[in-house]
Amino acid sequence: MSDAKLQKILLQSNDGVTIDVGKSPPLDIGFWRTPPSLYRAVAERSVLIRNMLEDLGDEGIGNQAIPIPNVNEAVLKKVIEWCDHHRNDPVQPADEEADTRKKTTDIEEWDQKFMQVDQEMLFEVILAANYLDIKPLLDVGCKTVANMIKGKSPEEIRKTFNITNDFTPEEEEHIRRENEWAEDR
Amino acid sequence: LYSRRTERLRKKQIKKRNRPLPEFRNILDLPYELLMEILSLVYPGDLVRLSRANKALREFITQEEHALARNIIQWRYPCLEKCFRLPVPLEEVDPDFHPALQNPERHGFLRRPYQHVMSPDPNILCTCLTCQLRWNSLCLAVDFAHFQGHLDRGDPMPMIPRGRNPTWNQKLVKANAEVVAKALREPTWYACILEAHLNSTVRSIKRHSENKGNRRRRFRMTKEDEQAGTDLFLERSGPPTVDFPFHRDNYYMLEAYLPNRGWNGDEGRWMYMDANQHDRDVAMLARWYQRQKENTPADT
Repeated sequence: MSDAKLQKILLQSNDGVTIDVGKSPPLDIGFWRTPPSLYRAVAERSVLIRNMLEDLGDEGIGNQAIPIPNVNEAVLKKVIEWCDHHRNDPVQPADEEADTRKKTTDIEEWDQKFMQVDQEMLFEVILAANYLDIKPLLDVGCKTVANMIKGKSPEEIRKTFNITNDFTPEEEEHIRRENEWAEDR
Repeated sequence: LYSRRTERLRKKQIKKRNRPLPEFRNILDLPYELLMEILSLVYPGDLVRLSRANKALREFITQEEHALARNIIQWRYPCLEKCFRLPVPLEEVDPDFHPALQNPERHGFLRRPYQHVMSPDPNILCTCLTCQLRWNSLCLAVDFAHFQGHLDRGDPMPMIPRGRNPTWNQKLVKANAEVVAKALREPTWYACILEAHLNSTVRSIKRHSENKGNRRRRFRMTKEDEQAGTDLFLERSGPPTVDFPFHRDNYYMLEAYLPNRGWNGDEGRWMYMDANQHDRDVAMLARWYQRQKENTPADT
């Protein structure tokens, strides 16, 4: 990718804040400045943005910010942080993605730390990854929530996800007895 | 009171107030496809526990049970699924074959008693040889799971004198049969049986590999395999399952009970029993029944 291409990529969150994709903190340390090709690599983790850049072309976009109407500033920054860290990850081929034999709920260490946020942010990141079509980030988010469910009793699940128990004690006891074998595994 | 600080605070409050509300309050407010994606990653047992959290979750899981169980089994238990197929309910068998399947002459053969496995009910299940074996294997998986605690602790399993059937055993085999019967109706329960059997298999292999005196050939299982929660390591070469454990005494030495498959040395992979074997068995049984009828003199 040549430097003649788009010099920077701007995204506009739904609360009207414009974020420069190349201005994410890890790449702006000391003398190091992100080369333009890397702005693209970061932004293009999102299939939605990649398609938009391809469709409109660099001239079409110019210096305008790309509106991201479903994502607020804090979440968008978080998503860019993830894209920045994973900018050099190889794109997973579609057939490999569909191969269920490679499926796992393991999450790499950096991603685990990245996902240590409050639940509202976690769900917002999942929704943003879904909207921006960033499959690997969506996978990490879904795995994080799945791991939060694993091995928990119904009471612990309610507590974790702030779910109100709307069963009557009789209903709950009936279901508990019905499910006893499967629940006790 | 007006100052730069209060002005900043006021602006911050306005910004906060104008910020759009989050689209969700909890996990249930996620879009359908995302909730499906998340729930396809959990264990089958988690799904059952989750369905007791509240009514909306129960409704969602019940409604999507088939798809969720399919997704989970597909990536967690692709090998066990082929070893432990479900028997076919009688109502799903062509009614033309019912007389052959329910022929009283076969019932003696069906009632061959095992201490640890209840015979299938010929009024509910297809009793072709394939379906009987499927039923027996699933009941055995549930019973084997029940005794894992005894086996881990090294406690002897209760012995039952020949010809006796104590109440505790009657209750246990009946409860096991009910679990399998429920698995026929509810795919999550079928997935739970596979989960339980993978757990038994992992525990057994671990138990036996820790016993330095036991040098039998076994499946290679790494720490990662043990924790993966999938049965992919069972696709490697390992000892084939030849016999049905006809008595609980067999559990002491049982490691990986994986029926209905054989190792193909040329291709270097396991070959599984064809899923359509039930159809062939029923057709064969119907032919046999027809011949029996033709050979029986009309006056008897």
